Amino acid sequence: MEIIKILVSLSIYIGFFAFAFYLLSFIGKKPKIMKNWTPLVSIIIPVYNEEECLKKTVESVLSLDYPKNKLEVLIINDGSKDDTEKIGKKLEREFSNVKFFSKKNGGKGSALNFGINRSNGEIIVGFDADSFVRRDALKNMLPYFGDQKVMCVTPAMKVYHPKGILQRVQAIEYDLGIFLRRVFANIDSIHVTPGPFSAYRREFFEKHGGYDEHNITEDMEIAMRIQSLNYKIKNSPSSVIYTIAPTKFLALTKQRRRWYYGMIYNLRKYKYIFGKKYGELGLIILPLAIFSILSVMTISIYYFFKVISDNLHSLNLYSLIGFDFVNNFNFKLSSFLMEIYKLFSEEIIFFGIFFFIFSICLLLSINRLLNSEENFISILISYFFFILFYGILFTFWWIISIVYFIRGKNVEW
Amino acid sequence: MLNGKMKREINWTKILLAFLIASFLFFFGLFLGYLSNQIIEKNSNQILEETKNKLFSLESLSLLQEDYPCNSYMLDITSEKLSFIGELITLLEKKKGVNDREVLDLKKVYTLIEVRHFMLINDLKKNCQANYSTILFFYSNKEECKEDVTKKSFILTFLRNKYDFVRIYSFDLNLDSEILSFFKQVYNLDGCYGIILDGKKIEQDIQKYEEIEKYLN
Repeated sequence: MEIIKILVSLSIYIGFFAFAFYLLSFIGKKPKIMKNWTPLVSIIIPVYNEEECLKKTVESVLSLDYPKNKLEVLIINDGSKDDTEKIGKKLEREFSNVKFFSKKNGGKGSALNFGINRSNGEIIVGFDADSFVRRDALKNMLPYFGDQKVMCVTPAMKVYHPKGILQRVQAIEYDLGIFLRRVFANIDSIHVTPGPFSAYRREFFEKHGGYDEHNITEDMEIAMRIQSLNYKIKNSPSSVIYTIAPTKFLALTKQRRRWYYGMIYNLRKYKYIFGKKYGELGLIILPLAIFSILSVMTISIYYFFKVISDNLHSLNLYSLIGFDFVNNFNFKLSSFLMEIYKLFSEEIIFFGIFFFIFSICLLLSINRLLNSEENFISILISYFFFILFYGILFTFWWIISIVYFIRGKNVEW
Repeated sequence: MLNGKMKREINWTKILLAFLIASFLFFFGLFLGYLSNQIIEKNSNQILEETKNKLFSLESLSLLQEDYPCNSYMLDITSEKLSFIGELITLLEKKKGVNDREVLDLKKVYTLIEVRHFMLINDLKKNCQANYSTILFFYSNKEECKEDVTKKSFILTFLRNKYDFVRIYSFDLNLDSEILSFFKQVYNLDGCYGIILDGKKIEQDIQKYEEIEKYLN
């Protein structure tokens, strides 16, 4: 009991430190930009059984506000078993700057490398078939390559029209991610580049090889590799990418298992990044990430079992009165007042109110800045679900991923 | 491993500033928590004082008037307040500990007021044939008694919620008070709890609410 109280207090303190550190880092120096640069851009779309959304994805990419003669789209069919090939070939015939290739199934990394080897662009953009872009996304990203040390520019990821609890929880997570990625970019600490629409300089692949085909989260691996080689990754928050988030629990769990498993794998692979020599990334950002994962897990597990035990205890008490809820209910203003007193007698409520207000303001600002269609009520509903379920879902996914990692089980993309 | 592409820097001033902000926010939150507990304690004292005065004036009235004033309205109101203060004290006890001096002082005054209220209700029953059932609940706040006391307390609260005529008075057996020593002696109280219903001690170990309900008039 005392240990968990200490851990909660420590987590709150570290949480405040992270909050202050991120806010101070947010006010960073402006990155070097190069306006009106229009290099040849290759967009690579690796696909596996994507007959349903391939056409929409390609159309979304082709509608980008960018000279058509400076844009090539490569669809890489990674051994699909459905009609992906038929649709891909049709798209190739229809649009002059679309190329379609088929290969034996080998995973996303191998499909991306296959595409890189057949592309001509100075800038390579990976894309997922379940995502689509805003028209100005590419145009807003390219100026960040004005700094020759920048090897990658990441977009702002948003969940497309979140519905249902799971999608709403993910929507908040993605929105908070937009803020964090911006902060991390300011202090050269981005350690995950999103799969869809992160833009890379071809030079990097030529000098340091393509995607790690054996890595389950090739996007994290490449981000860590860029960081380990002391190149820069920047972020373009106005380049908005929409993704269709999983709606089913099992699909979402599989996705998270892959991400978190990959995170453990890559953090171990690049463990030398930890420490002072990699600046604020090694000294603050990565240790903070690990601390938050561990503390959220411990606190969630404790409260999960506490809620179960408290409910069993209540059940036991109600059995003493024959579960007569009707006669036991006796609403009085004083009882209501008592509940308020109880609530405010705990210091944690003030910390909770602080983080709640800050998060809501942050989420509203992000959505306003990105001209999102989501209104205040919708954001509030999503945030409510996020508070309620994220901790326990996050813990569950991490436990599964850790178990898989320890037991050395293979995780597929 | 370092390719020398970018010179990494650590902004120590920013880190120090972040620690200062974090410390300020953290201790400010703790201070607000302390402040809210002070307010609860102050309110408890205030309500306790008001209740004490109300009961005192009721007592005086009953002594002054020749005919006993058979008006239970004020007693019912003070009864509500008493149970509210009882809960406030439990809350403070949880926050500050069972041995906290201020909580113990508050409890002593509360105990005296409860006894006074109990006596006035008894007068009302005797002089006005008022239909009340009084339950004196003596409990120990020792750790080994927690489970048992919680169960009994839950059953009694249920009976109070179900029946308007039930009045419950809770007393901490571990409180150093003369009046409690008197009750302990009269009702031969030891162990984790004792229930006195309308002046009679319930000897059996209550497991279900029906076991007390059957004694209510």
